[in-house]
Amino acid sequence: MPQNEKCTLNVGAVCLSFLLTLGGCVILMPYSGTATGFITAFSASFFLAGALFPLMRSFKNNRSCRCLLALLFLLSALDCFNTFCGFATKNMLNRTHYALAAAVFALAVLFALLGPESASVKFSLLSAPASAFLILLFFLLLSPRFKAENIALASYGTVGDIFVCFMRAALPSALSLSVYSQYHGRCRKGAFCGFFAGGIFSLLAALCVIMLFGAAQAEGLSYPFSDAVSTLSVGYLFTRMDGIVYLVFFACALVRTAVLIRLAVDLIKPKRPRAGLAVLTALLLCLSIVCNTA
Amino acid sequence: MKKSLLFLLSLFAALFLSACRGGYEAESRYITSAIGFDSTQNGLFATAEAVLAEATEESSNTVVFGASGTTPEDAFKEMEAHLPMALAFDHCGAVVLGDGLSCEQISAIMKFCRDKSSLNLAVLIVRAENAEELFSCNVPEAYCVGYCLMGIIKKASSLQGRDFSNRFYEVENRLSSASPCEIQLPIFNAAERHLHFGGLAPISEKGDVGYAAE
Repeated sequence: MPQNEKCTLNVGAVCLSFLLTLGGCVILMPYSGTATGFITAFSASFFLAGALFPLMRSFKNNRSCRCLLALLFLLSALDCFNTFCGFATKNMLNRTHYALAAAVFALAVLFALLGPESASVKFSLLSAPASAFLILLFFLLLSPRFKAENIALASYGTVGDIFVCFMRAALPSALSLSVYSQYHGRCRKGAFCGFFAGGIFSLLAALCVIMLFGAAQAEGLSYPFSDAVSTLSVGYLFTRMDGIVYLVFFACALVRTAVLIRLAVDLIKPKRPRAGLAVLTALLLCLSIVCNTA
Repeated sequence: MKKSLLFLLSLFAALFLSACRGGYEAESRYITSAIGFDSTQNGLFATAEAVLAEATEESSNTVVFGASGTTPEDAFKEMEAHLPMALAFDHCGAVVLGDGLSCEQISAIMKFCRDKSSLNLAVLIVRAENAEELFSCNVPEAYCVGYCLMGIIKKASSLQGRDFSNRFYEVENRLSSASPCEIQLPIFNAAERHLHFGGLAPISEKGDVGYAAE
């Protein structure tokens, strides 16, 4: 971007990076059952992302760095793919084979990747505000049942907890957004705003879980935010509101997986990028099925 | 155009992932509204009140099943072994603990509830002298004891301006600092098949159920 060109905020980039960041956290967080660990990891990743932005240009010219980043993105994409498909099989389709749910999701990811980029951005423009609204709504609806003593100050979390949160949620989001703004965006302001908003809303959802269940109980739950929302009922007819939160998870997981695969392909720079996207999605599907059914 | 259509179709297909937990036909399961446990000489007696999807005018809309076992899991396994359909716990509103249950038995029941992933974390835990007797109480027509327990707790909570903190996850949290026998829970009375708690009892109200002072 020329130095004299004014950087304008791209709403599409904000929404995309918001979902990408949220996708790494909202399904499984607060990981260790500690709000403090989550806050520390996220704050650290902000500083790291800021430090990595200037270095990203030199990374682009270094083949081994590019390969390393591509590997990290693929592992994060696999993690996100596994998490969502595991959740879908366990909580929504408990009589469906994992492979079937994974194949359906892989198909959605593939079409998001091979379709025009504007389709993914439009999808993000619709899903991001809806996700933010739903998280805020669930937070407010659950807030009368929050117990102040649940946010036990004693539960700071170990270094291991912070490391897990940092590696699984914050670092891949920060790095991928750095790379994304280098390759696809002319302005990194949008990516940073989305990352920041994603962090805030992830924290809101994590606090919701911790203040409702307490740190110790939250740690034992497989999908804490979904479980928190499942305790909500509106009147006698609408029970288990977690049916709605599945859509937030789906949007976040789809965007995160697709963006991470696309960035991995961009970094490797294959001769036929479209074939690369298809091969990597198929590879991810196979790995995911092997990991979950072996 | 073709690609966009395929993209939309794949999204639409993936939306089918968003459905009720393990969707099933209401007629193919006994939908439990409440479960209960009483202590016996050899272990536990488990009771389940189920709502019938196809109730007739002649028959009641609920049915109560019971079975014994050394553990809650055994008791429910035994119960389901004699039923033509499986029990569904997704809409279970309350877990009744009968008097006489030991601390170990209460711990085992809490573990059973925790492991039963289809059981909602917000299910109410209440006490009664005898869980089986509680399920035989008379309640307004076309209603069931399980959901009456929920309604009475809600009404009592708003009238007394207090939270009984007896949802499963709240009781679990309290158990981290207290013994299962020390946990204070709302105690329901079922004398003469008349369900009441805190001076409130279920009554018929314009074709629906209401809760009023006795």
